[in-house]
Amino acid sequence: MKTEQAFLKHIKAHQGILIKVSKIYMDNAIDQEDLRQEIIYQLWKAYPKFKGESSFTTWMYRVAVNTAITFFKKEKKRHLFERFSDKVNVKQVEMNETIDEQLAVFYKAVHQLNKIEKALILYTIEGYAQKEIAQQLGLSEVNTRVKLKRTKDKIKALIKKQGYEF
Amino acid sequence: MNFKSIKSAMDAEGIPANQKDVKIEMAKGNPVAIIRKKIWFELLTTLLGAILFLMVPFIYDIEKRVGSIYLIFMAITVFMLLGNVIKFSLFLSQTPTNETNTWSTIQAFIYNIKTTLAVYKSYSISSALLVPIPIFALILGHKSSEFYNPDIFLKFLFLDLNLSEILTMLFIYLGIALVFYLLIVLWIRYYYNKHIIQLEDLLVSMQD
Repeated sequence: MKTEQAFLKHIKAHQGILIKVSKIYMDNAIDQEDLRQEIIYQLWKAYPKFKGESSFTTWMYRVAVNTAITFFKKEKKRHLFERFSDKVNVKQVEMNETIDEQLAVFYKAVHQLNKIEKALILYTIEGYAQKEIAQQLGLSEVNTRVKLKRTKDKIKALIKKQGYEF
Repeated sequence: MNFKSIKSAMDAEGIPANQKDVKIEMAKGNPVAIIRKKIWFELLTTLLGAILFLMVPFIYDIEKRVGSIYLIFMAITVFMLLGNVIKFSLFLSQTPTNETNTWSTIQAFIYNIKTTLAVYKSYSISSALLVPIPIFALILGHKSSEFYNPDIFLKFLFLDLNLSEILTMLFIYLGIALVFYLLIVLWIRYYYNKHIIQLEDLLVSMQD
């Protein structure tokens, strides 16, 4: 019980990571909440193996991104909630525009990337060095460098397409 | 706009009211969770089926010798199913959690599920080759059945037949076994392959 309390305390202190990963990977509130829940569950399962070799934040990002990458929605559910989800998404974008137009534009662009590209952008934003990104994803540094360059160019183009400079 | 300003904006974003609550509970959409759930369902169904099949000679009035042969073959099949259950249980307990790097996590999961399914297929082939005997035992050994004829069953079983009869029997036997096997392969493809393909595509996209 003590471990569970310690775990929940850790997670609450790092909730921002959950929000960022779920918002980057999912484009509507329902899927974002589902993904956030799955990440917490996977973190709990992996928690006993966390030995503190890396920082808690780095470990949490790794588990969260791996979960997001292997997280697929059931097709049926998507069809069933498609219309509802779209409405939620429009509302969310409208709300973001009033709070921070820049962020709304960014999310719109990032949702057009594939899952690995999303991970690359997330780690870049969080200030991870190329070497660390390569380690997190299990790619070679050269491959990471090439992918990172391509992904940055892609997101720049997507943002420019919306009429913003990057 | 740049990554720094985006990070500041993201950091400044508050936590939505509906996401403030932190509870340990599995979401339903993850393919790993879906596969695990399916495997558990299959395990329970298999065990229940095995118990029911082993009870058959005690419920129906079956000729004694045929009933014994039925029990022997069903017992072997059940032991094989138990082997399958053990392999599946190992898969459930050994599937890696996501704490390793992304590439390794996906690769290990695909490897685990593929080897588990390979074992599942081989057990299925063996079971498929055994199952026709108990089926014939039920048809020809059930005293109230219109096909009741234990002597023919024993004649078939001990190959007390001429060459053309043996070949005909072999053809029918392998046909039934093949149908069982194909049904199992289709079941695996329908339930598991789509998730494996999605994960394999991700690995390929990482290598490009």
